[in-house]
Amino acid sequence: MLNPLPLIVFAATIFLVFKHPLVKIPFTSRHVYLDYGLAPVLGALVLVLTLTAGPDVVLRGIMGSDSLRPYSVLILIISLSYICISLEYSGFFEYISLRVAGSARGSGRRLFLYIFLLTLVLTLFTDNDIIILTMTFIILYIARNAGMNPMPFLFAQFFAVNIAGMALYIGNPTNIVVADAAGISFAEYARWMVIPSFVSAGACFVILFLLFRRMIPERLNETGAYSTASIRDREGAAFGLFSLIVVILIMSIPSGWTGLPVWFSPLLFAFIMFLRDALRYRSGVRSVVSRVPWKIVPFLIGFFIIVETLVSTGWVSLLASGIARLSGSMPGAVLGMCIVSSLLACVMNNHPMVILLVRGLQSSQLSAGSRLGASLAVIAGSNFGANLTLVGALAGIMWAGILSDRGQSLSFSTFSKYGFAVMIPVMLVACLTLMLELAVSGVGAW
Amino acid sequence: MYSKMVLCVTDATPEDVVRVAARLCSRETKVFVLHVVRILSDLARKDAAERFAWVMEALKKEGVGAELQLVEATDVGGAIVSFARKNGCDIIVTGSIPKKGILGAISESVSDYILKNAPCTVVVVKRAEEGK
Repeated sequence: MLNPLPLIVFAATIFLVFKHPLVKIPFTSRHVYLDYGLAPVLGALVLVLTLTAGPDVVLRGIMGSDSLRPYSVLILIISLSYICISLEYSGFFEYISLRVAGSARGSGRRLFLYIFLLTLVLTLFTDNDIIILTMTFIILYIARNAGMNPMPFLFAQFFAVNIAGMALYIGNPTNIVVADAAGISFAEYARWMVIPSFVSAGACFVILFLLFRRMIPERLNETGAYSTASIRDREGAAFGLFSLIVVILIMSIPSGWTGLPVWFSPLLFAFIMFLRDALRYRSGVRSVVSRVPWKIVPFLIGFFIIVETLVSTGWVSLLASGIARLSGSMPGAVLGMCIVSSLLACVMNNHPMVILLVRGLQSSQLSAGSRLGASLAVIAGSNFGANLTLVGALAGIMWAGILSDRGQSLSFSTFSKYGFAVMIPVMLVACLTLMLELAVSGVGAW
Repeated sequence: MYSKMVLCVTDATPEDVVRVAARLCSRETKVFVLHVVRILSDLARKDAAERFAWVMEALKKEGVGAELQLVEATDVGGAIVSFARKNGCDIIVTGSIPKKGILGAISESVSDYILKNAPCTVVVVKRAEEGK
């Protein structure tokens, strides 16, 4: 009989991440949210204090095993976030969104298409959360001026973010976790995932348009005025874009050529941008630094340790044998794993799902082809799952909060209804494309 | 009467909240109409000034001196409490957003956070129809 405690802690931690209750700090009068920054650490602490997780397990949770290095993933996520946040602070995203909205020249349908395309392009290279924050604000701003219902546009940008987020290695932290564990480099990642992402995006747009066509107004007022938008810090925007491009180029060079770890160039450029921001914005740099999603560090580390305990107590080998059975054939590995991972993501959030499945994949006996197919499918599932329910990704919970503050009520069930209606066909299209790619390249002949 | 008030506003803030706030003010009360945003830009300032013009107008009509304050934060409750502390406010007035269903079970309540952490008097205005 396996020790049930780690599994209980894992489930309880996920519950707390969603529920984030307000709790009193003992011996003080202060109350804090037991949220995603705190609950996983508390969960890991329970496992350490009950001696379920020994020092070796905790160390493996932080330093990793095989090619998965949690500390490297975190350096990468925080550095890339800083670069994007600094770019955002320069006013670049707001500027480009307004210019694009202006170029729709008053046509509602054109605006719908442009917002979808702009979100796709921006998310390819930058942080999902930043794009959701900026685009949501811009859409609500335009909708208020034009007197239109923002919902179709809000859905379009949210869905586009999570689909384009899977195209490149840096698009979503979950991509980095899975790709690192499977030993997939930046360039190899792009080779497999760019085409399925674009095909999915096309399918998603068609379905969204069909669903929302009656809610999109023919003509809008006042959009022409947005063409005159100006940028807050032109040099900062240019420098940020330049840094981002250089980082992406360096990352796409095979690491064997440079001998540098993958996190090196993002960290270096994030640091250079930080120095520039400190000189240019003075005390404003504090605002840039405070926007960095620091809580992701304890969140991921906590879950890495909890999942490591599930490995050491034997739970993950049960999962691994299930994965091996499912991934025996190409449809099972790709379509099966994509469905399983996206469904798991939409009930337990994509980060814990990815950490759990990645450790399962690492421990299962699979051929190289199955492992690659299943890993790519888990990546797709971690991104698609974010569109199925509002708890699929942390961004969904944040987004629902913003909408409710802005007087836009979006219920959990309404979101899920659209999520499933749009994403089931999209997922099928994506998996078929991926299977075709694997079959054509010969990797899929297993 | 209170000398410095924080009046928390969002787009979901009903008129009731502003009316209650005005009633708690004397001519000497200084009101900070506080709105927390995730990203503060020039456009966000202009947008917020337009969206909350009605609040400023309503307070002016009641003869209350008020200024609109925008604060950037991801933790809305924390930002309101620290604003009140920093500015030495003696009362916070806020509405409450009723949330139902699964989302209601998993969303944080800003008014609850303020009640538990504020350094001063807190008035949470609940609309009658919310209880039904």
